[in-house]
Amino acid sequence: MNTIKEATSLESSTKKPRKDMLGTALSQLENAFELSGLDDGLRAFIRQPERELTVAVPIRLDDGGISVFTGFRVQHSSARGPCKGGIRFHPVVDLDEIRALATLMTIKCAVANLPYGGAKGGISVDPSALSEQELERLTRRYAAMILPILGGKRDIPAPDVNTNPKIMAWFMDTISMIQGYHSPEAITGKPIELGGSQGRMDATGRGVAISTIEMLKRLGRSPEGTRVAVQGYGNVGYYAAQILSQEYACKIVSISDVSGGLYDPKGLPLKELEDHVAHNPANLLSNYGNNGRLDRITNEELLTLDVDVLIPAAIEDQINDENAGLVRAQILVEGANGPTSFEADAILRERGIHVVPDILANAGGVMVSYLEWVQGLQWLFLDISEVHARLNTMMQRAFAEVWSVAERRQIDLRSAAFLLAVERVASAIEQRGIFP
Amino acid sequence: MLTEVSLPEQKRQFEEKQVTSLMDTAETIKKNSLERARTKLPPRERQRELAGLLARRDFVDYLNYHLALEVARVIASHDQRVRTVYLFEESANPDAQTEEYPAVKDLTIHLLILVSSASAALEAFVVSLDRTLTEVLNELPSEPFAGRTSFLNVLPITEADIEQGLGYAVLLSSIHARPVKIWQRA
Repeated sequence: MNTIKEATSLESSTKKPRKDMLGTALSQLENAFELSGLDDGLRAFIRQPERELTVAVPIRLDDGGISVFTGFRVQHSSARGPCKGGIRFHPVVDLDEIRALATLMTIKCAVANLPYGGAKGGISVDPSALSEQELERLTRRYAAMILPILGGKRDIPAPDVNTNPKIMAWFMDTISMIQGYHSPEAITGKPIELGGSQGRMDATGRGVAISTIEMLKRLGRSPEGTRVAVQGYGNVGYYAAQILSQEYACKIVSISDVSGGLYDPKGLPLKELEDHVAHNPANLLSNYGNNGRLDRITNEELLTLDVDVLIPAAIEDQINDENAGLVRAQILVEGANGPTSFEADAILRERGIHVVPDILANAGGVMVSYLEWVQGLQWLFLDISEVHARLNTMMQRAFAEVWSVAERRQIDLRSAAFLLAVERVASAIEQRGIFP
Repeated sequence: MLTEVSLPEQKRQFEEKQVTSLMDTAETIKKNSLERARTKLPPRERQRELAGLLARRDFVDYLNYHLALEVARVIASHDQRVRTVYLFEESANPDAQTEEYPAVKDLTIHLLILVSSASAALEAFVVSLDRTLTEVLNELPSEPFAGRTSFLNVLPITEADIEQGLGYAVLLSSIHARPVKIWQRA
């Protein structure tokens, strides 16, 4: 007899994750407290989320039965403005994870100097196991249940893991129906037709590209001909590579996806590769029939190539204590969230490699979310060139501010970014005072 | 009357039988997945012609998910070394998951397969299954399906890979691109 079973939709999918990435990020927060010299009271204020809401979300299933899912919304801080953060649907979402991610959103928004605090939400569910109607009912019920703490001037959700513009449209519609008026400012990541912003598609990759250029400028280097390797050919890596190549004349010498990488020290034919991935087998680089023109390399090999700039834009924890000593790039720009382990970060720092941290480098996404929110508040919509120009300005300014802190305090960019964020949040708390 | 069959002929017949069996398997995967994906749609949409459904991003998402479930079940039934199968999407950053709806769907089914030990036989089976499944899915009335020469991206991992965070095993401790467990050996 076959003793196999299919996992249920609600079953916890993996052994408990986190610690690596979240633990690393949160320990950076503690480091920032030390660097800032904040008193214990302010530290406690910033560590603790302001508000946590757990809801039991019942839905009627298509077969007539009822299922109840657990949902969360955590608002970490509203000191600098309304809370902002995504909503994820995943079987192993829990309050601890949401709480930590909300904290990181506060830091990310503060680094980018956006007038937001941080939030995060989610439902413990495998959305693929639900029908479209069930998913819509779940989204709408959850939206209604957390609505008392949402709103364009309170807390603005956005897409995250397994949520998308369509789900955001249901969210916005639910809020609008209950409030009795159209509320595009209440949600970001909406479809364009419902007030979504132009330029969201490439926002994070564009931000990564701008961060790279800013770093090169600080080192007195011209972007032209700079040799760049990009790990990850998803939304972030793809656009970062395209923009660096087309708009700044950098030489993309290597890219990779889940199937492996390609390398040519003379520069890759990006247009050809783009066409290949879009129209050919499996949408993967591995099937690229290059007739031996390009070297095939592994993802691990890409990380240690002799290049000027390395952009890990794939998954977390790619640069660790085992390979950090082998990285040959002078600049590492974190396109992915948490691609560098805590131990690796220290090794890179000791080796004088400049690391542009994720909370700065990939802030382009939340910056364009901010632009979408502003457009929703004003009912005045920007064209793509205006979005790009504003994103450029915001990223350049954020980079300059972090760089300035790093120079002044003689610390690395990651520590500087966290320090800047913590000081901004603390300053907002102090200036507002404690109510009542 | 018994017919004597030469060894090469026996081998050919055996391979043909295997191919036929795999073809049946692939057809079953397709049939089951299409049926289940239809049930995910609103009732009045379910009876629409397949070509129309395959142009819808939501239907393709459901189809891909059920293809993954079916493929996981087949691979696990074939090889007792398979302990758990995870479905993942290659996504670096949730902030970047903002593609306009509907968008071109990456049809690749990315599976992480936790095995008790690495096996060339399993890898060979996956290659054969992919080839046959591709042949079957190419018949779907949809350009993105018809034009592909591969659908499966199956990455075997071991407990040691997970413990050491090697390669894509690191995804199991990810908080931004965490795989979903779709099958587990009891």
